[in-house]
Amino acid sequence: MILHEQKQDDIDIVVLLGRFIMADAPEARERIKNLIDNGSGKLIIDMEKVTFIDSSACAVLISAFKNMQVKPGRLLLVTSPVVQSLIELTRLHTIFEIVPSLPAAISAFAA
Amino acid sequence: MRILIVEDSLLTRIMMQRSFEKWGYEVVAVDNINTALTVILSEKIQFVITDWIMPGGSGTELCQQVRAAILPHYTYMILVTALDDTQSVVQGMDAGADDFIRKPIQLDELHARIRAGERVLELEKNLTESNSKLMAATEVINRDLQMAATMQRSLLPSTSSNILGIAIDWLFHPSTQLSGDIFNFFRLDAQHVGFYIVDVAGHGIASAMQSFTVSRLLSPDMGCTSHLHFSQSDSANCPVARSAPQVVANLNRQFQTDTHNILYFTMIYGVIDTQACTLELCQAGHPHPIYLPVGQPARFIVNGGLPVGIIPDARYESVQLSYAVGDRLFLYSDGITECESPQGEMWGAERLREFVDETRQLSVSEVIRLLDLRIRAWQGSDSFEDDISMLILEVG
Repeated sequence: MILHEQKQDDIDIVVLLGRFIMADAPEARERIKNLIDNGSGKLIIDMEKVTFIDSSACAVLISAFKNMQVKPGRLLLVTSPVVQSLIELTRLHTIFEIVPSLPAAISAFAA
Repeated sequence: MRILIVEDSLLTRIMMQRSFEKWGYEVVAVDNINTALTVILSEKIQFVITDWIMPGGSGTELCQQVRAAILPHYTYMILVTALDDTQSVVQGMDAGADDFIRKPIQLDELHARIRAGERVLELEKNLTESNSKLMAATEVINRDLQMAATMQRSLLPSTSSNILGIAIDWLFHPSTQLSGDIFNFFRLDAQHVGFYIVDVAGHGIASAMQSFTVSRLLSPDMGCTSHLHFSQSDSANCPVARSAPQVVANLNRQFQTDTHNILYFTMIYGVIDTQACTLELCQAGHPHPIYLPVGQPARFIVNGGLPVGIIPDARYESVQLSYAVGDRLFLYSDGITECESPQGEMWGAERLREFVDETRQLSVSEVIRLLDLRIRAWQGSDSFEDDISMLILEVG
């Protein structure tokens, strides 16, 4: 997995690419937590180019969701079909805020 | 350090021996490669300086023989040669020499080369020591894991169990020794049978620790008031089975994830009423179970709430259905449906449903055996990336 961090104005953007699995989870979790701790409460996790996701990776998303609730702030997810299908299977789409694309996520924060 | 000198010229041999002893080395000196090999094998000498051309066999042959022998340590070899062409050096190194020095021997240069060789041997010794410590540690860890794996298997129900007319069989493959999956099947009271399947996020030791804990809490022998039963005030000796959503909601309150514990789990808990012939089950983010009624197509039971541990006040509901003799219920972990072929294609829930339909005439144990073969064939190997479990209940 590859993880890029970007910033647009006060919005933190994490772009994930490739297979997002157990081996990547500790690093991804730590970096996302740092972004939330030091950020402005606006975070987008872009998984449009994630080709596989397992339950450990899902735990990272839940951890981000919970950290953002405490902050408090807003977390937006952009999903690929594979990610969306796991999120729906585990019913997590009922708590995550999911948007269709990165530009849509950025304009959601602007609105 | 001991050095073996292999040199047929008496004069050179004595010259080298005196110098080496002056430098503080212990020396063994021989004049042919056969004696040399015997000494290397019996005396465990790790440093050899050998002449190239000698009667009875060359220094390169000695290098080859030493490298072919299986020795418990590395032997550092320096070839001494009068030959002055690059090709000979290449040939000598290819035969297994570590270094070479040309005649006439410059003693300072030879001493420097010996010291370089000593450094290599020192590194090799350190590496061997670290390696053996590492292997000893790995062995302890593996023994521990093996013991934990045996404990985990002992928590699973017997494959031949039949409780109040409900029979069970299962498949269980941890991706490493320990699994984050766990399931069980037990009698709750004279009329009710309980069952569950749990899949803790991730796999390995942390997930397995969580699955052990959950399994113990979901044990029916923990007294009158437990996760599975509660006592009514007017009949304290006759605990009543809790409803499926109650059990899941209680676990959800108790197992909230936080900064230090991010391992949520998905699960299904069900209660069978063997007198009313009804089945109630509650799903928490778990792959949808497959129900196979006699004479009708296999179908998913689609319903449910969030995995356990996500939000404290998550709501859980149950699905209720009436069953008939011969009906089957299949519970499984996502390790089965997400099992990937070498091309990266997942086996998928629909293939599993078709499999359940196609194998309806077979006995439950035969279905389990076939499923095992089918998923191994699909992924083209015998080791699984995620924990695998499948639990089949059949109404007898």
